[in-house]
This record gives sequence, structure tokens and C-alpha cells, in this order.
Amino acid sequence: MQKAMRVAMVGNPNVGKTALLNALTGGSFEIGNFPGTTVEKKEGRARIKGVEINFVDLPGIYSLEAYSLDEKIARDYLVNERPDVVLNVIDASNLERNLYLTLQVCKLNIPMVIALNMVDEARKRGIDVNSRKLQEIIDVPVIETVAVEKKGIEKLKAALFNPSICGVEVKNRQKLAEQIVEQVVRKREPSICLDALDDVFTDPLLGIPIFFSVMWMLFRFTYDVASPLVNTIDLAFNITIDTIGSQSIIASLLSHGVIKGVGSVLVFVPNIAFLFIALAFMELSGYMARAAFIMDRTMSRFGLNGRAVIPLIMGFGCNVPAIMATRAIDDWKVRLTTVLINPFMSCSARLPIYILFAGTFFPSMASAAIMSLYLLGVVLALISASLLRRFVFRGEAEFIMEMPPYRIPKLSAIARLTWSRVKHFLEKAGTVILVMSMVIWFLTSYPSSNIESSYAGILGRAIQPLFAPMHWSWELVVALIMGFVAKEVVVETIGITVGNLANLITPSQAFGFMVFSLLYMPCLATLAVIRSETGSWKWTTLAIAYSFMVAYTISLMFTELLSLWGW
Amino acid sequence: MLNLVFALLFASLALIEAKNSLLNAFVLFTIATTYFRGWRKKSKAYTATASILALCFASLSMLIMLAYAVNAAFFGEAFKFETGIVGFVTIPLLLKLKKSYQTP
Repeated sequence: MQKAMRVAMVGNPNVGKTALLNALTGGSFEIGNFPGTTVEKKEGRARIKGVEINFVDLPGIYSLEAYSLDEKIARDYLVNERPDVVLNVIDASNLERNLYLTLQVCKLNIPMVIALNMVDEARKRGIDVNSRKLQEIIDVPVIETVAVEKKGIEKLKAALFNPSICGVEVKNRQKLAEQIVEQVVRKREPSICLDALDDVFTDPLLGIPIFFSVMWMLFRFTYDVASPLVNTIDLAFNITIDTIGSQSIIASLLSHGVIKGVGSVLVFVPNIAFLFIALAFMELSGYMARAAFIMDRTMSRFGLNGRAVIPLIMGFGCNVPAIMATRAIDDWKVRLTTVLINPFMSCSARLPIYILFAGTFFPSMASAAIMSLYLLGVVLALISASLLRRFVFRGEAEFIMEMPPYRIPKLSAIARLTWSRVKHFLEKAGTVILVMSMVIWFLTSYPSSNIESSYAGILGRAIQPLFAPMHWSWELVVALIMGFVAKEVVVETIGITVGNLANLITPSQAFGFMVFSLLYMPCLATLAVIRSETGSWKWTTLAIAYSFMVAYTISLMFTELLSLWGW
Repeated sequence: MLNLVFALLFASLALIEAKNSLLNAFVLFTIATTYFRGWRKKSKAYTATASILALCFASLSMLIMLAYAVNAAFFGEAFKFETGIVGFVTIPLLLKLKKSYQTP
């Protein structure tokens, strides 16, 4: 049997390697428009001209000197695995910096092909690269591509069968890169003005108000615009539950266990999808990186650097990939701090809890209540970072942040990115949440059909005294315990155990519960990734103990303060 | 001069909206400030950004009003007007700016 050809894709961060991998293999790996989307190697297979090719998409790196974990992964693969071909992906708008890595890879003497990617954007920015001349100088095939539009892909596939070893002698990489650029790049007046917007988005006076305005718009889009869809799904589930009824055990399990449980989570899919659409737009347009830059000024005061900002923003989606994205941070102390504070960034799984409680207790200001929780999470993450950096991981943090170009996002790219994230949520609904709904049904139906005498009731009442200062009922305590498996399960448990939430607690207690749900221990998957990324049970235990302590204190504080306010 | 006119328009809208929602008013006030800074700095980038923000907020307001209308028709919820929809008045200015950037 013929051995598969191994092609390693190497390039700077945010040059479109993953988009190229998708174009070459027909895959649907997640792409972004900020550095650090890929933090571990991804593999995709394709059969080209009858030959099986295994593409390995390595994390974006600036050099082969391994400072951060992603650089180490890339370097180790090239040096130890020796792929058959290196596919060096270069951003045509930023040739000099990209060539710096190319010339370093040249020294490895591995046959190479260069994909000169994003040539369309370079032209719009007034940069013309003479790819033929570049090919003559380096003596390696250079193919112009626009990966997201699948342009130049066939030529690139053909070139992979004729790679060559660099014919250029590299002594001083920086000087040589400059000389090559002088010969192959021609600059003219740009035809677009999007870069001019940077002056405003990063304005010291306006940058932060604009950022908060954008965030507010994001929350209104997530909550208000999605509301008719939420109402429709809710109605559909209620009709189904009523139709099935609960005459037999099977009917009860199906209606009050599976459908009520899974439905109470699925009803929020529109909110989650809308949140992801807005985040994908911010990410792909290039605004997310500006937001990170604006916030960096504040964050550097808390001992974090520019590279820590992206994993924190990614935490709004899901803490698991966000914690993995910390691999791009070369400073171990900053990385560990970012890992430990990441669970305070409110992930999408917590959104259903906020929507349920905000809609019930603060209907006229639901979006504001939800946004305040996100902000509270950020503030507590920063305070925790400051404390950790001051007392546990002392040291200076330097700031390195690269601005990706502005792009008008393609609808297909937004749809793909949103779907890949919503799919993850739906998969969870079909697995963990489905199983949990049956477990909760069992716990609430046995040994007695009276919920207060059920296993869940016994468990909830046993632990409830711990939360007596917050005046939460045992049903809410059970929900929090179940939420340890996955945060969506909190809403699921409430859906199964609680009839009318508004009669159970006051608005101040409800806000306290939302705060606790935001901050208390990370879910099981997040804990697993904290353990694997820190390589230590010590830091994992700290993450649990610290977050629980903070959650308890802050939530009690809010409950008391808001009750004094008369809520 | 147009910058100043739009700055005053959005500042007035912010004051009106403050009674209903402080955060909506904050967005409108941010747009007004961006226009104002564009007027002070004589910078097209500020005008463009303020107009883009106004247009985004107007589009969002329209979507929200549509959602309110659906909820009112089918789920018996109340319909509310969104002040942000006024942001559509910036479309001619944005088109003019786009043209000016495309003409060297």
C-alpha cells in the first residue's frame, strides 16, 4: 500500500492556513480573523491525483525559536517528523514579516511550496506582489491563492507534486527579507479606507465607549431579536408535553424527563446562535482584535499581556477552547494566570440561566441584567489576575499584539463559524443533557413521586443549609449541584423541579443566584482542560476552591445589597 | 458642519432615550461624541465610524421592533418603539463618504 504524502502547513498567525486546509481537503475547520485561532496541529486528508495526502495545519508562528507552546509544537513537528513537503502560507499584505519565517524554514532543507495567500486583500490595500519574481529568487514554487474563495487551489494542488528545496543562501534573514521585498513588492494608493477606522476604534477617549456600545448591541441582538424564536420553541415543547401527558411511567419519563429537561435547554438555542452570529461578525471583521487592543491598556495594569486578551474574549463562547488558546502565551506565569481566571468569563452555557432568571425577574431590563453579569465576570477575572500576579505569579508582562486587517465578513463564513459552535451545543443536548434529564427525572420521581421526598429533595435539603444566607430553595441548590456536569443542566433541573420560578425567590435572591451561576466552580470539561493545560492537580483544585469562594461571597453580597434596595 | 448637525441630533436622541433606557442612550451619546470629535478633528474616519455605528444601531433597532411586532401579534406581548431606528438618516452621508474614498 502506498504511504500517504505528509504536507505540513506552516506560516505566521492569521495568514489563512486553516482556510487553505479547508479549501484543499473540503473540511470545515473553524477559521477566524485574529492571531491564535489554531493552537494545536490539525490534520486533514485529501486524495489528489490519486495520491493520499495528509495535511497537517501547524499553529501560526513567527519563528522557529520555540518560546511559546504553539511555536514549540510547530518546530518539533518540522524537526522531528520531517514532513515530505512544507506548504508555507504567506500573507501577501505582509510579505517581509512572513518571509522572515520562510527563510528560517528554508534552512531545514525540506522540499517547499509557497502559497501566497490573500492576494485580493493585498491589492485592495495597494500592495502588488510579483509572485514570479519571488519564485525566481527563492527557487520554490509560489502560487497565488485566495483560500476563502478557493482561488488558486487547483494550481496549488498541482504544485504540491513539484516542491523544491530553497535555492537561496540565508545568512542574515532580516536583511535578506528586506532585499527580497524591495524586488518583488510594488506599492500604490489603496482603494479601501477601512484601516482609517483604526484611529477611531483605538482612540484613547472613544475606544472604550465604542466597545461598550458594541457589547450592548450584541446583548440586545442576543436577547431581544431572538425572542420570537425562543417563544415559538417554548410553545412547541409545551404543546408536546401536554400531548404526551404523564399517565404511564414511560410517558412521564418522556414528557417530564426528556422533553421537559432537554427542551428547557434547547429553548435557548436561538439566543446562543444569535450570540455566536454576533461574535463571529466581530471576530471575522477584525474588530475583536481592536477590542482586545483597547482593553489591553486596562488589562496590562492587572498583570496580563496582549496575548491573554484573546483567550479571555474566547471564553465568552466556551471556556474549554479558550483555555487551550492560552498556549499562544509564551510567559508561563501569565499563561497560568489566564487559565485560572478564564472560568470567570461567562460562557454561552451560562446564558440560558441568565435569560431564564432575567426574563422572569427583570423583564423590563433583561438585556441590561445579562450584560451586567458579563461585565461582573470580566471585572472579577481582572481583579483575580491582579491578585494572582501580585502574590502568586510575580513578574513583568510585556505587550505584543498584532492587528489583523479589517474584512467585511462573508455570510457563508459567519454561518460556518456559528454552526460549528451551535453544533457543539446541540451535541451536548443530545448526549450529556439528555442523560442528565433522565437522571434528574429519576432523582425527582423516586423513591416517592412527591418531589420533596424524592432523592433530589433529600439531597437538596441536606445541602440547602449551606446556602441558607442566600435564601435559595432546595430545588435551586440541586440545580447548582447538577450544573457541575455542564452549566446548561442548571436550567434543565429548574425546568424539571420548579413549577413557577417567580413564586420561589425574590428578585434580589434571583440576581444572587445568577451571580453564583456565573462564578461558581467551572464545569467538568473546563476542569479537565485546566488539569491537562496546567499539568497539575494543585492548580485545578485552586480553580475549584477559589471560584467557589468568590461565587459565595459576591453572590451573598449582591443578594443582601439588592434586598436593602427593596428588590 | 454635517458632523456637528449629526452630533446634535444624536445627543438630543440620547437625552430623549435616557428616560427609557440608559444603555440605549449611552450608545446614542457615543455616536454623538464620535461625530463631535470628527468635527473637531476634521477627520472623515470619525464621521465614517459614527455613521457605521448609527447604521448598525438602526438596523438592530429595526430587527428588535420586528421581534416586538411578532411577539405582540402571536404571544400577546407589548410593542415598543426603538429610538435608535433614526440612525438610518446617516445612510446618505455614508454613501457620500464611500464615494469620496473611492475617488482618488
